Amino acid sequence: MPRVRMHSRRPRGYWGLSVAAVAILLTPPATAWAQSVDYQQLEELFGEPVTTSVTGKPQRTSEAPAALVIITRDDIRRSPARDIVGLLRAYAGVDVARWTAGQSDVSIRGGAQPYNSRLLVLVNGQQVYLDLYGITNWAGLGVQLQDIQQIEVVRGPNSALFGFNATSGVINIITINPLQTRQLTMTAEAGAPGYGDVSASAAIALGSRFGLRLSGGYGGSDELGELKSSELALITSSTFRNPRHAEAAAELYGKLSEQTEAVLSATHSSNRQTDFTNMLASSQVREKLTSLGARVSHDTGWGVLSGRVYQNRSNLKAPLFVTSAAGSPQILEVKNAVLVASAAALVRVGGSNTARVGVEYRDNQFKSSSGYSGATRYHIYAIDGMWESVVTDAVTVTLAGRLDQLQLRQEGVVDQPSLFSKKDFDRTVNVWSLNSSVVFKLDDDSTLRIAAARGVQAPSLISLGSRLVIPLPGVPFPLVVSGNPSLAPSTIWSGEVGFTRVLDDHGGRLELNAFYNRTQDVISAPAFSTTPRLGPPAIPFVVITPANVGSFEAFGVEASVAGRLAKTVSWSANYSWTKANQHIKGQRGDRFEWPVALDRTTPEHKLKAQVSYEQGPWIGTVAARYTSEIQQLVYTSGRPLRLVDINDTIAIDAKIAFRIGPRLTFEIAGENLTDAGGADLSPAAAERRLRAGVQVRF
Amino acid sequence: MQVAARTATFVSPALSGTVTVAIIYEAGNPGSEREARDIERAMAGGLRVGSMTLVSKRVASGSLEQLAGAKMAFVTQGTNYRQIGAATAARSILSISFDSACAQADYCVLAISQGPKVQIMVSKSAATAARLRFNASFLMLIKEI
Repeated sequence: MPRVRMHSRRPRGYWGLSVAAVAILLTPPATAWAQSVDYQQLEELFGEPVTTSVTGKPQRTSEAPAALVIITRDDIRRSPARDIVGLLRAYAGVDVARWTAGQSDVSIRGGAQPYNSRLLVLVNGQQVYLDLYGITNWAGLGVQLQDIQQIEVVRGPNSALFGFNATSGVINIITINPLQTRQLTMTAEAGAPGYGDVSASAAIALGSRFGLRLSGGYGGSDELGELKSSELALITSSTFRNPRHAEAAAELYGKLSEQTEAVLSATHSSNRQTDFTNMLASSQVREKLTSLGARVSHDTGWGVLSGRVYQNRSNLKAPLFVTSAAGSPQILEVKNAVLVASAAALVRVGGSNTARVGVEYRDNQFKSSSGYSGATRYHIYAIDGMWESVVTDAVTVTLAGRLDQLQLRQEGVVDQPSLFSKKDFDRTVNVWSLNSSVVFKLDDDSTLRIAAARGVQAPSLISLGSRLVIPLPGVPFPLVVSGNPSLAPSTIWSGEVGFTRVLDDHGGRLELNAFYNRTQDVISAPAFSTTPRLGPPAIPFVVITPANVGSFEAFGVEASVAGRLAKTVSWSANYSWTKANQHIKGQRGDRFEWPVALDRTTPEHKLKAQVSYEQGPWIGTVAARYTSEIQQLVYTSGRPLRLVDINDTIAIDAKIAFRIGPRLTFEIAGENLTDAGGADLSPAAAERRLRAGVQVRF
Repeated sequence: MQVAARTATFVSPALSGTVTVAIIYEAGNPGSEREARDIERAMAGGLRVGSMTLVSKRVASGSLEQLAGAKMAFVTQGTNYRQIGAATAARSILSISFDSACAQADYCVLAISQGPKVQIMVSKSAATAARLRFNASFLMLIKEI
């Protein structure tokens, strides 16, 4: 774990004063008592990371009742990845699709698709998943790699704790706590094709009771060559613009008392990129995301009380494939605001049992420049509970459940033409989620886990209430691409058996999982090939809407093993076998009416391995991934949806870093050194990417 | 040793600055003296944990009045746990042993065992007697008896 030493020599002159100031700001912190979960101290204490992302209770990785991976700061330091999705793809059960140079999607246990709605992504427990589209914009998280304490990846549904959209899994990115870790780092990288990135991260003390984390970054690269030239080219504009992103984040931590910690946070990001959308058509988008939040936790000795409130705002602009009278593309502008307030009590009952009770309120609304004149909005009221009982020293039972009530409405007038009236939007939906598990402690180092879960995915606001009227050339009535307020949430049932063994006291670990999951009422966006419905004769139009289109199931096994050889070599390897099937309406063999091919996009075999060598100032890492062949569904203007073959691939990433003194590190790295076109699962061929960089650390 | 020392960061009243750690041993007991030497060697020059610097001080089990000023104590095996338990509780000292029997008998506040996995046990009675509390999150991760 990186640690900063104080200067012992007497500072002299201006430089000396600066050194003294930095040293004071970076002084090692005080006790961990006030911090409800001190991730760094607990990892160093137990020799393995600790998480709260499975049940809400702090748990050691090896004892959590879920298939869990925690990516630590050491893992990040050794990895050749340049971003968070690059880190994630090294792990079992995880697929990362880089559809374009700027847009990525992460899927867990099958079902890779653009705008994946089935994975909930959080930063410090605060949602960065965008309810508007039901996606995560990985380029706009506002988190730099240097900011990260750990990334917690929970495979399988976890709606009983997190609510809607934690259906295939949860990724919770935990940033460093400036009350615990002090740092100041700056990184600059350049590479090909057209890659450049600068970032900085600071965690400093403000007196003895406050700490501030500040970070920011700016970067971009050239767009994929094939995307610019192939038939996948934009349908909205003839000119691609290369992706760019800029992010800034601030968090103020305060120890209000020995037992109470509060955090204020703010994040802003701005990015432009080419998206491969869930309608399987590419589009140029510009997005601004702003988030403000506050959270507090109080350690009572018998438990932890916590509360949180945050608001996420997003503003998205995309050129439409219809033109204005002047001939330029009309710009679609969509605004979304989400306000979330929640509170929870986590209580120890007796010496070994734990209970958790939580409530949550959510207000989610959006308006669009081409949609209805009023906002589409829903409120969610939720209550959740968890009970963990240590039945014997060898058996622990966990049961968690959650009830959500979603109240949908359309504010203002429902503009015509539309299939729907205001009454259609006045809906209340009640859903329940469940997580249950039994963990058997086979011996001090081994556990066997049996788990079952029911997760729920809410329709996105866009799929409920969007409306886009498209004039059809030569036809006297328009095409309306519309939301569908009658959509049902999709549900996922999951069962799994897992075995975990700690092999040694320096990270050695073996994990085996077998799982089955089935998703019902899969929600699909319409495709331009979807059979349209006709509007009422009084105002003739044709309309395509999202729908619940069928079911998807996946089952498979995951095996992971990791360890160290002496002190210099760390290694890991994992294998995933996943079999997926879907039953989607309108599909006949390779002919698709709906843009859903979750079975074809799921690699059946994945084999990943990584070896790192650390000696003195040197770090060298090689990571290899084998992915079996898949198919991706694509839409090209005027043609039906069709499948594109993506051959099996072996992709190799590598890096070499050299540290000069305690502050300066040089690094060269490459991704997809084998230039395997299918390495990123995208219908546009992946490219070899090389970069070199320097990091300064205080 | 690092593991044992880190447990002190989760205790209340909080410890900080230079913390004197007693290493309690049984004079004439080779096992106890060896364990004391090992602990002392691991803490040589002061052990830095969080905002604390732990400084060791050997205390023979027959001279427990020398515990004055200590905030933590390592209780080596082969000592009289009952007598030490009373002395450390009276001085509000966080007592730690690598023998789980000491915590199971409610004489030591903490016991630590280290195989591939670190196992920590806290005696609620001993902690109460010493007027010490632990962070609730920490207690959810260990075994409290």
